[in-house]
Amino acid sequence: MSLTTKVKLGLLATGIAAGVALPYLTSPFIIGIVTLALVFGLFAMSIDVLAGFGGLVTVGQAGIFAVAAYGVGYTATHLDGGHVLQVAVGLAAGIAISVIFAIMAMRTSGVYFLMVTLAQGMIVWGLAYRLAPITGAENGLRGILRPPAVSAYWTYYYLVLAIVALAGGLLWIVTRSPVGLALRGLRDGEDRLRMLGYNTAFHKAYVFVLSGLFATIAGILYVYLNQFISPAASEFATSGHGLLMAILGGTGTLVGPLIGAFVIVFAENMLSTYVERWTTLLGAVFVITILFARGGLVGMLSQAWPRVLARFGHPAASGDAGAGSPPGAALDGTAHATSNPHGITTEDDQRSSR
Amino acid sequence: MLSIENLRCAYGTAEILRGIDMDVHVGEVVALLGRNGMGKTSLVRSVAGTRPPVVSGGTIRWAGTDTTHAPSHERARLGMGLVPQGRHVFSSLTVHENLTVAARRRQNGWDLDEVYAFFPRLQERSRSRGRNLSGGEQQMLAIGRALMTNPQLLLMDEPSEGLAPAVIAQIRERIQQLKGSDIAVLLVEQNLGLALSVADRVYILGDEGRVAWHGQASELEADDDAQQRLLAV
Repeated sequence: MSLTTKVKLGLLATGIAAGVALPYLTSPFIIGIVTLALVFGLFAMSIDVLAGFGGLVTVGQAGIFAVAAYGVGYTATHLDGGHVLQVAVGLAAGIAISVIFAIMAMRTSGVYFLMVTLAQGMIVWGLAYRLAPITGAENGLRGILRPPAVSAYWTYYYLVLAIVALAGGLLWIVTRSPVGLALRGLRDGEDRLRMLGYNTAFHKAYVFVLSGLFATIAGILYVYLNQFISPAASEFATSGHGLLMAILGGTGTLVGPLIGAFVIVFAENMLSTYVERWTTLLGAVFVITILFARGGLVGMLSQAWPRVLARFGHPAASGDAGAGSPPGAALDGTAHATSNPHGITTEDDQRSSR
Repeated sequence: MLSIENLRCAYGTAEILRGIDMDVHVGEVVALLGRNGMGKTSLVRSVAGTRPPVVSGGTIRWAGTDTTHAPSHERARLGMGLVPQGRHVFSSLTVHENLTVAARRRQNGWDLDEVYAFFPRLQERSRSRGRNLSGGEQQMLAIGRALMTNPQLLLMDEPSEGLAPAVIAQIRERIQQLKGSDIAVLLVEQNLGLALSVADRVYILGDEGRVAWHGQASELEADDDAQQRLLAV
């Protein structure tokens, strides 16, 4: 059984309230980290749309993210364009590269899709180093100022919070639309969709561009947050980080990648003060997640929830085995919360043992 | 009408079908029989456009259109619905989602309510995921999903495979109900009893990759020799 709608709405309201109240409660340093986590949360959500919902594991999303950021940076530093133009160029560049990448990747799936997106990410990374007149090579582009209205750290935080909330809401709607349904069908088998009349290559390209649009928005928010962009943003490690956030939080859930982003960004910024080899620690957490909690943190929580209910004597502590599990099966095909912490025999169990 | 002329198809260099001629008319159920490995599934996959095998010769015409080399999603849009061997339902989608993802509306055609009325069991299980269904329920779902596309040609590849007799009886009843509506059914079967009880006409594939026998179902029922020669194991 999953978290009930009431609980979900309660959590959402708490999250928004906490988000709004945060600048009054904590230091600029923490707000900076939270802002970064929100930006990466959106980035990881864009990866989750492809990898978690569609089973299309991308490792080149940082390419799109970086192209959008460079679009903003180049317009700001070389063309002296206003902020409207900067954002417009960033959006156009991100969408254009998404369309090109989508056309390259639309006829592949599985490990081939992964290899194509890997190559795409590497191409952008290579160009970021080589196209010095545009990207400033290793030095990157500096002095990309925020619009005056959001130049303060806390006003920019509110802007990012609002955009990420809005984008998250839009993605949630997309995943529940017929497009999202077909996307999840894609993960179970492309042939099955095709014989129902879906042009799956086109459908993949469409979702790829949609996902690229959200990576683009994340890239634009990222460059204004740091006021600086360098080839590091386009590295494979950035894509890998995004994927890791999605897996750690729980793929196929949207809220999982956001939670994963907070865990990893905070670990990166706080833990690194105390532990020298914090990346080793991160690696260990990742391995443990893959081995023992394939639904990620969100999957663990929805599994634990019936136990919490049972402890407080709530009667509705069991239900359909499948319905509550996050569809975290993208990377392994089998992972799902197995429903039944109490040994209560559900109808599903009876049927499968018949 | 589905009309297959001199169809040849191959897996790599191995030619499985070597000149098949076959017709299926709207309103009739045609059974395709034959021993294992004779190419029944290859024929259905060629008609549906699922690869492999690759069609190496001949033509497949459906409703006046040459669909021999059309991509499978275009064939589906032209009104072909496939109930694949092994069911292949979407395992992570619920029953309800499996059906709605397939929906293609047509005036007076199949919709969710009609499919649920056709298979009441699916309505009871509407919130369960495909992977949590029994074999019989998955088969009902595979048929229901194909009906949601409102096909005029229903290709059914061994719907009785691995099912309990009681469930097979139910599937038989449903195929009989489909008969006579404006739909053509091509049914691949190993289960001779099921095939004979629902089919109007029968084609039997022989070991040369050609049609070894065809005629009315009632003729085959009376023809022990053909049954022995072409179907007995």
